[in-house]
Amino acid sequence: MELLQNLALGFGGAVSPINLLFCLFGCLIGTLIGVLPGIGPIATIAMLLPITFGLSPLGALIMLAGIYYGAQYGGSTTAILLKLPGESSSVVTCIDGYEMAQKGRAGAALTIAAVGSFFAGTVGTLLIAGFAPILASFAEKFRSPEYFSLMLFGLIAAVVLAQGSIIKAIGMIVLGLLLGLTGTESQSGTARFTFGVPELYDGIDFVPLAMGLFGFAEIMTNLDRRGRDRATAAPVGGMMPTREEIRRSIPAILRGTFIGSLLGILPGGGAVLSAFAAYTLEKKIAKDPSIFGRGAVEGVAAPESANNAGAQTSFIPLLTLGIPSTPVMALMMGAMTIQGIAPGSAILTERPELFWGMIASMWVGNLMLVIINLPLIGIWIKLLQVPYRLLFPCILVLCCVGAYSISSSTFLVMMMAGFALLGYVFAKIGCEGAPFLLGFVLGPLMEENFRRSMVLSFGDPVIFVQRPISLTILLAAVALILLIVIPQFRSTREVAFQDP
Amino acid sequence: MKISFSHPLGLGVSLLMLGALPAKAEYPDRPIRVMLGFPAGGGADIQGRWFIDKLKELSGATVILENRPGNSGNIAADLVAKAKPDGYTLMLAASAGMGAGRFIYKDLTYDSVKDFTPITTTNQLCFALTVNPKSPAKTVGELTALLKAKNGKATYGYAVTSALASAVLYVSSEKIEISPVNYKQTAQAVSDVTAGEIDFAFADMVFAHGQEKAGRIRILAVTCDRRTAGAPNIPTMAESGVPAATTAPWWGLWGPAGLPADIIEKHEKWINQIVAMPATKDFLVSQGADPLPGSHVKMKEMLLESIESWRKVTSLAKIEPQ
Repeated sequence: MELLQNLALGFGGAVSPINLLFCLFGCLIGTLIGVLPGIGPIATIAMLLPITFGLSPLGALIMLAGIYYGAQYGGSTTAILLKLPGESSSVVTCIDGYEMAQKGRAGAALTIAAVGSFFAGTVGTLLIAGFAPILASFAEKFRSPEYFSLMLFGLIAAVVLAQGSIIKAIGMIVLGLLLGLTGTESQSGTARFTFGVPELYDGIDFVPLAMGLFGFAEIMTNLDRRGRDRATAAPVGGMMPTREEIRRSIPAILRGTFIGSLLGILPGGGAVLSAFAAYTLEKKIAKDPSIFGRGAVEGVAAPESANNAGAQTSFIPLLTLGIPSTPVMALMMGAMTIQGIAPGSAILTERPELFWGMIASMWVGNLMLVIINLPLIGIWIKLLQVPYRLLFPCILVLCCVGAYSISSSTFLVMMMAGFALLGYVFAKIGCEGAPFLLGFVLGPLMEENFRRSMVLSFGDPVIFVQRPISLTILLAAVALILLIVIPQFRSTREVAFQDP
Repeated sequence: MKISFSHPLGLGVSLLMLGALPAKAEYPDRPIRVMLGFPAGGGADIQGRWFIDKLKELSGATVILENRPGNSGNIAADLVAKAKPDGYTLMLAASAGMGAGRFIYKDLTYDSVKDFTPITTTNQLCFALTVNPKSPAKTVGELTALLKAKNGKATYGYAVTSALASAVLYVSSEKIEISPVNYKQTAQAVSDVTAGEIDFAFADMVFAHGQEKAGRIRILAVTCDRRTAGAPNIPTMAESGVPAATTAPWWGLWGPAGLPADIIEKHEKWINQIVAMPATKDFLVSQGADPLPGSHVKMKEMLLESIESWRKVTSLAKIEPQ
């Protein structure tokens, strides 16, 4: 009953005309930047922060939150139609979404992605409303040793579940880890792999790396096979999924929502890890895993639901603990501070109208996104009818603007070009980019948490097995390794991941 | 003639000629760029934008805050050090970066004393000594006793250089044997204090105050030389018997070396006007900071003091330039 009262209070604030307008504005901008590769929610929210000075606290937060989850919706559009992840959380959607598009099922894929996202968003919102305090106490049990174990598990899972050769997957993860360690080492301040270039002292920026490796490299590969001009060759087809597609996507959406909601709460997890994990699970439990990579509808439904659920639930640590779990949440925290609100459990007790208003607006925003997104797809299809030779220079320019805007310097643009070359080479020699990216993102976090754990335990590695949560995760990791080592499973895996 | 004017080069040349006219327009007659070595959206950016907005109003010029994050602010500092001292390229930077840089980085491309003109200070930031709310230590003295009883098995957390400085000065002055734990963000360090993983952490008052209100930590003292306006009930480190741990990181406006005196004077006047505004005080207090009026002479002295204090901190912490 109290929950209903709280939600009523929230909706009272969220559906006032001006706040609805902020919500719509945020969702539209979010979708737009989600569709455009290279301009992410981080850059956009950062650029819009100064505008929020003059807004009401609720209006400002509603708009910024709308940008974030709007981007999750928009990101899937280019992933499916162009195989260009508009957002890093849509990287896995590219695999099967684009294959579906090749088969003329793009419209159905977009509908399933939108409906799955909406369902996941609704569940995520309800979860925040109902379980925020309980979930927060669970996430709070994760300290440095638990984080290290969790990330180790993530990397091992990436090897086990990578497509193709295990050796290549390990190689890509290690390469990712190494590049991730670029920059000033946190404990002693030693510079690593910087070659005296000051721009590298803070490490390699994620955005130009991802844009170069995924966006540019894909364009180059496409230009390679000029015989079949493929950007325009992805017809949208009917928007309505078939009965069979619906039957297969419902359980996938449910599983994706579950995984996403869970991983979203963990700091550092968020939308990207959720999407990866959901895709992996689908592949794992499928009766016939060989359909993945060839346009499996589950491969769109699960990760798209998961990334949206993760985007929603990643608000929980910020709203309950006052701890930003992702860079976007760090910006949201900045926005709250501008408004004189101390993020944390104090919001819930001192400013309930703000807390519940934001939660209500998330649901309203998700509803708006489904309503505005499906018709808007038509506009993007028109854009995609532009011949590829005209479209790709525009994408390249947008990526360059995005890379330049991060620190107003050309260095990152050059770095992006370097990663484009690297990505092209990877594609040519059949190495997957996803494990590389995972290693790159998790590497520095793992090192940080490992070293911190060791300092906290005064150099005793027993800390990782003394703590029950950490021990459980490590045991799960061992089980995964056993799966590769046991010959019987290995042969199944090889069948499962046979390249199409 | 017509063609040369519509040609971009022609226009450039004529603008150049305008600039060289003897009746030079009064400064500022074109946009002023203020560099900030930190990303958009962070605490430094939020405070920087307050001053930039007000500077826009007072100077009547377009003032642009440019975020040039990277290499702990050294990229922004390098840009400004090499800029023309015409008053159109300035920088907002903190005492920590300008004072500590020479002891932390081996190949700095600038010298914070020789390559810059200090203009005036903007605000002062206090750090807070935070412990777990369940800790038996209610004062700094009690904490010291508690840490010493741990016989070297104590830990503290820090995320930024100013927090490290406060901690190093505190533990060295009280001769506490303890291990430092590095965090990427102050929020993580404070979260580990709440979880009981580490014994204490120094955090900026912006963050610490909100966390204390939420009951997640207890603040034992602040590092400024006086109590903060936002939390007048919390004693200073000096009042708590550790005067050696008094550090007050400050922010100020900087220009490249050789900035003309009339430009320094103008900005000194504008910034001090902003600092004196009641709205500025309210804003800064809400951010856990305090306004800091000053002058270019005063700021130069403060820079030299900061360098000396960092010389001490880095030698105590045995930090070698990297």
